[in-house]
Amino acid sequence: MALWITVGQMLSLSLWALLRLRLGGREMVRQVYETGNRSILFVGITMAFIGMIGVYELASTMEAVLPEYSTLGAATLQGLTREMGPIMAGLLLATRVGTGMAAEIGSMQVSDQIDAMKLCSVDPVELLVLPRLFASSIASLGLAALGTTIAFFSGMAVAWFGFSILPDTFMSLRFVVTGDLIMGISKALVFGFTVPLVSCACGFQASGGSEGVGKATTRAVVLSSFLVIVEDALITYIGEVLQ
Amino acid sequence: MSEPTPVARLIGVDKSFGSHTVLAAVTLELPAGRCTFVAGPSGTGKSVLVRHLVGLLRPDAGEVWYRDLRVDQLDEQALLVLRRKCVYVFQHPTLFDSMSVAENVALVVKYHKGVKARVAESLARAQLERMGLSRLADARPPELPSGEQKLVSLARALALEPETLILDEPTTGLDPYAAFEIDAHVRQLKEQGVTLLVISHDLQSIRRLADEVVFLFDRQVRYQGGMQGFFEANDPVLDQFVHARVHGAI
Repeated sequence: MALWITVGQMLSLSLWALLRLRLGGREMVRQVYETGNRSILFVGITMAFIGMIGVYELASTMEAVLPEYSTLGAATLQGLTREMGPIMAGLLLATRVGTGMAAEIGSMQVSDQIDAMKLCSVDPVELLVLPRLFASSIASLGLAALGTTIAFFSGMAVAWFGFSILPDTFMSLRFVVTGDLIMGISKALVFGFTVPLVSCACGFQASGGSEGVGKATTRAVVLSSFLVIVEDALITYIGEVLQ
Repeated sequence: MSEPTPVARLIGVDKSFGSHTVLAAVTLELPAGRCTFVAGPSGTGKSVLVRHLVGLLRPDAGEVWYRDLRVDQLDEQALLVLRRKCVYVFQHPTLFDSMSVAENVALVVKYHKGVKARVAESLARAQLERMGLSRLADARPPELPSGEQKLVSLARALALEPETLILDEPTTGLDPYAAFEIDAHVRQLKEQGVTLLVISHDLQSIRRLADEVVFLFDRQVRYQGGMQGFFEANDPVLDQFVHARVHGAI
């Protein structure tokens, strides 16, 4: 319960800061680099494999059912834009970035650094959380776009070499509509906001030395991954209703 | 000579963590402009006691006052104002590892005085220079020995220009020279009229600096009075503590 109160407090403070355009300036830029640039290799390699596996499975099924591949590329791109790109970026952020945030803030919490900030008139949410929230949202959007592109091209390579589907045939945008793009962007932004929000809250709740930091880190990755999945379902449902 | 007015008061404070009672009906006064030491065996709640004064902990029962402010009833916003006057320095140097020493001090100055980052940095460097710590300005806290980290923590606290300074075991774990250096700064503050509350086991520091001593034992204040009386008290518990005797109630 205390965790969700912390999440609620941080959320209201963040929205208030957003309204006043207090985004953390230089620290936010640093966090975009830490969160985004440093995740590129991890996200890129993971998404390349996901693209290859996804296209291989989809093409195998099409081979058995339709024997026709003209829609393979378009269906792959639509799925990546709406679902796999943002959700994988969200989950990978939770794994790589959320754990780091929970551990860093948790360590500061158990070593009294957070209390020291309060005692020095420094608001720890404004200093530590806000730049991470906005940086992570930007990074998540970039990683989702990059991941989608890499997965699409790696899938195209599998389609070409494994199923003799020419790149001209595979590279089709005909299923992707504006609604898919809006859904993908919305998901990436929401996931990018959720992961640091929950992870930082877990860090703030840490207590009891290094064991407490470990527990906070585990809790952060479990909760933020779970929330990414739940939010994905909700946004998909809302998107379908609106369309 | 008239008694100095108390700057802070705890009245009948109880504090428990789960089933473990740390403080039971503790009452004490902190005289203004004096140096008061809080002593007692480890685990008797010295840090818990003083954390009530800056609102880091709230009592289960009782009242905490700082001048005319009821500290235990203040919200976080009001506590910020209090914490600019009454500054607490933790036992462990709580410096921010990702920042340089100057940035650590500047951060506090920036928020406290509402000045721009560049002005805050120059004020921070001036504060470090006053304390003879200029050479450390660009170092990162993890690169420094614990004595220097504690001095930087003190510099950061003093950048707030507090009227009351609470030091939690400032000399614990330091070599005699570093401890002496900290004591020298405390003496200087005392001469400037800053109200000081120091948690310490260091009997030499108590002898050198204390005007008053509060001794905590078994969840209560066992002794509060002058430094001379503390060392000469006819109390077996104090006697055991002061003479570091192995056998006894502690």
